[in-house]
Amino acid sequence: MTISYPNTTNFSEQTPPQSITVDLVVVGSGAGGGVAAEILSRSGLKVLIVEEGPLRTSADFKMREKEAYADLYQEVASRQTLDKSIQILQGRCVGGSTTVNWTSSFRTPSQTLDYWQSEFNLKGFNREALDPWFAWAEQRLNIAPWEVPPNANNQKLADGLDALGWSHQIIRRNVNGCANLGYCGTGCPINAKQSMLVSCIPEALKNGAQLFSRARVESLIVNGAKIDGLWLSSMDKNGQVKQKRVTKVVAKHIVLSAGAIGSPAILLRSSQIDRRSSLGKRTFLHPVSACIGRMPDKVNAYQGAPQSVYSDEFLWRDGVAGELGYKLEAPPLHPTISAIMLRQHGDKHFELMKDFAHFHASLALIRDGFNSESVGGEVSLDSYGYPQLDYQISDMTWRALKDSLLKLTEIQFAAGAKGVLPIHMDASFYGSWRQAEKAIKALPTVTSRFQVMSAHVMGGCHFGGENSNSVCDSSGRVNGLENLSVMDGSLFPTSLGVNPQLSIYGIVAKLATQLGKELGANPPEDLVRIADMIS
Amino acid sequence: MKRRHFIRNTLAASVAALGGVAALQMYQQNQLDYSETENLGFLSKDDQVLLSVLIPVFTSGIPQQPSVAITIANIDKAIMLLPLRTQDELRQLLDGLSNSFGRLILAQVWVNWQAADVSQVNQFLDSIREHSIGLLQDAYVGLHKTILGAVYAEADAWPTIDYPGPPF
Repeated sequence: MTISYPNTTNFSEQTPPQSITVDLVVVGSGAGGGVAAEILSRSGLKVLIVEEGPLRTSADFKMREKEAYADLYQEVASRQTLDKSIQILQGRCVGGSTTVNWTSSFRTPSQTLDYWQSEFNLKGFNREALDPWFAWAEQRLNIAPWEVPPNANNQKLADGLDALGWSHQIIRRNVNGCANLGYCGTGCPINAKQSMLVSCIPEALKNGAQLFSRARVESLIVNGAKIDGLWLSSMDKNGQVKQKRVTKVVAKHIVLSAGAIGSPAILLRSSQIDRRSSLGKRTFLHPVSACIGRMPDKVNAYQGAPQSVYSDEFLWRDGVAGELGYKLEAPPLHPTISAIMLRQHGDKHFELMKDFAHFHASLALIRDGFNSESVGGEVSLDSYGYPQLDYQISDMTWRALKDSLLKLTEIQFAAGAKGVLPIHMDASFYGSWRQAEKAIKALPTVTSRFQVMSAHVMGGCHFGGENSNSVCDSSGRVNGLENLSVMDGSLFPTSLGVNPQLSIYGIVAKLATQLGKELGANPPEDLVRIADMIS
Repeated sequence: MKRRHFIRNTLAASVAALGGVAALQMYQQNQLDYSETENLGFLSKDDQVLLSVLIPVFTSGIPQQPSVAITIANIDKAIMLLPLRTQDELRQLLDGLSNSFGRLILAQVWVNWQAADVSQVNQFLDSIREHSIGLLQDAYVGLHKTILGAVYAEADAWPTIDYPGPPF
């Protein structure tokens, strides 16, 4: 099936317009921007979508890490926190991270929603109010439990959990006609993944929206309590600023969906924006620990749906606000990402790499932000005006990271691993669970040695009710500004405890429908019905 | 103290610890051969010489040795995509290793970079991997990621790890 992208302008290759006037501009084309652009364009508004990354489609997706990391990821897939302690995988292309994610789809857990209500005074985001929006997104993006047997890598996780009597479930995925290839992370070559790239963005364009790619928002034009528009810079083919302030966009309303690092950065780059709130703060990452198990048989962890099994056995292990819990999943392994993870050189490195086909990998993502000791990171700007994230790993997070390594190791041995390697610079392959347990307990919890990863960036413009020091109100409006909204994962006041895409889809569907009504437009009937039913 | 100064002072201290006078003499006796270097977007000729020594050592275990020229070209392309702040940091790291102090450290380990003994360079990498100074550990991780990421991105490396490549 060919998908068309009319009304697009590539700022690195085409001449940008000097100015453009629209009803509404959506900044970013990922999970938040995609849904917002579809709903608001279907409401009859003249919408412009601005994306700093390139427009790449299935014809460009060759299932090779080299091209994919360069074309589709922030900072060639090597974005990291300021002290280099956490490696962050994040998309930078049309479709944002949805173009490269592993398709795992979860509704926001009730515990998380309850916490937002009690701690951030957030109204209207409880289970009953949100489930119809999640149901809409699930239908729109074909989200359903994965019915094909899990690949060997995920099956090992299930086997280990079974052997220990711990629970696991099947992951729901946003795919349609998936061929079980295993290359979701390099862009789906057959348009089976229902990312924003193949769903909401083309739908918005069909409804008359325009798309500027390789265009970055330099700053908002603030005029008292109102935003008059914004300035765009053009980007070159290397993703560097080509020309600053090349296009002026005038819009009645601005929606920021540039992600939890990008959206706060735009606000920080704009003068006259109130800095007293939590702007840029409370940025959460689901810090991830990982282990590799050497299996007697080949696992070929690059093959098949990358994620299909998960366990919440330890997600709420000490209650919502106690010691940080974690979700267990399996990540795919491809050559480059594996080679980078194994921090050895020469013979020692190849000694590890030669067993690549026998590697089974599993990970734990830590649910950060649910405790006064887990305050997250802070986005600021470097001397080039480019965002940087300072995330200090708290003692509580270290405890969770280490505890999760112990569990991952135990599970891998229970699944039949002959050796297990925790991803830590002072670890090596351990031959038994007892040996591993003793060694892991002694591993130093310091940033330079413990290899921590993340693929989920949340917060930085969190919403909340009165006295919550929030950046946005419960409609997503930036406090104190009439016509500026945030609609992406940066709204979340904590991490989620689940992979974020479906939470973003559902919550933004609610906020965008509400905004469409407020602007006097005509949001799609099915969405208006949901909005009316809940209110 | 500015980061650049810190790197320089750190390297100078390391040279002193290694016995800098002998190293200086060795350095002064050896000239580098730039004949294999290219005009690239980011990597200078000094950077390329340094990488041409480090790449075979990082990859010495791989039965099919990767092309140094292709690896360097890939590294250069990838760096051009990084944010300017990160490019600045890499510039400081590479300059630190290529400038007189950096060369002194390296010269302590082998007489001439381009005639280096693999096991000696390996020891050098072992030492910065475990170094008590965080900056040198960071340098190890930066070089590791840059070099091995570029090597395993190429199809030539895949048969050695039993990876068949994409299905079509």
